[in-house]
Amino acid sequence: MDRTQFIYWQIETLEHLGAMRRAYALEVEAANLHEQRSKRLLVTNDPNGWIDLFAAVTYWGKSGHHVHAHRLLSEAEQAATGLVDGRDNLTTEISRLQSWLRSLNVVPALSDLAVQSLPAMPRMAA
Amino acid sequence: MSPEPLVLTARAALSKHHPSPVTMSVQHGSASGAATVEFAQPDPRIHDTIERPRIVEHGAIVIASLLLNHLEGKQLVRVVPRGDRVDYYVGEGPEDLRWVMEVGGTDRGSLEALRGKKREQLAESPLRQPPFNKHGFSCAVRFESPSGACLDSMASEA
Repeated sequence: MDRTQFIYWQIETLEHLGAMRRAYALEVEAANLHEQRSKRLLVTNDPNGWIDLFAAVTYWGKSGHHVHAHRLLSEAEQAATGLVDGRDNLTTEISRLQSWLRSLNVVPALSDLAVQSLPAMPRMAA
Repeated sequence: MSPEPLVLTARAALSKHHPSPVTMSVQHGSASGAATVEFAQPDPRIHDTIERPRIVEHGAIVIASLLLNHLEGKQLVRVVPRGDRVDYYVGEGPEDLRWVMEVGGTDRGSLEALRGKKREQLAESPLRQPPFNKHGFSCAVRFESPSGACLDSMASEA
């Protein structure tokens, strides 16, 4: 059985039980699996690669890796503009996912915190 | 697709309204018929531990899978999230994603209204448009008597 399918139902069950932290490792694994498959398929111009790319963005977003998710979408946007067939449909979906990512209220992954600027302080601490 | 988590909830969806087996009306496009579904009794605690909408949704997925297999010779092969949505892919083998499916269930709502809603959602699906060009199925299921299910197909927009 496809590992991504096993993970999908595991995450579904864990989220239903409220065990969001237990779902984190599975979301990261699913994100990696979908991202790898999307690259493999898109390089052969298989449009199913977009399905995996959107799934990867979804799992990266849900697991708090927003920087990576937005970067994937930016790359996807660039790739989509080069297409003749389906460009508008893809850019609409990419925009919808960007909005969805912004609306997510999840704890950022450590890798996201590492690239954020330190907060500005109004004055030096004593 | 992994069916295990769905089976329990499908039993719960059916057993709330019927003993096994249950005969459901089936509409396949413009054709009408009936199907008998036999099921094991679920652990009764499931009704207290899983919300009814989730039971109904999963039960509908199982009924849709049975109809796809019996009426179209196809199977539900992948479930893939896309932001706040979930897409169900149908094919004739594990790597075949030529079709996409919209599926919905109801306990006692109008089957015809749900059928129309699912067809509309399928018609508007970005997966029927380029570059995906998926054909599609829509399925609506009602569990309370008179229970029934509708399976409709729709060509891609390409």
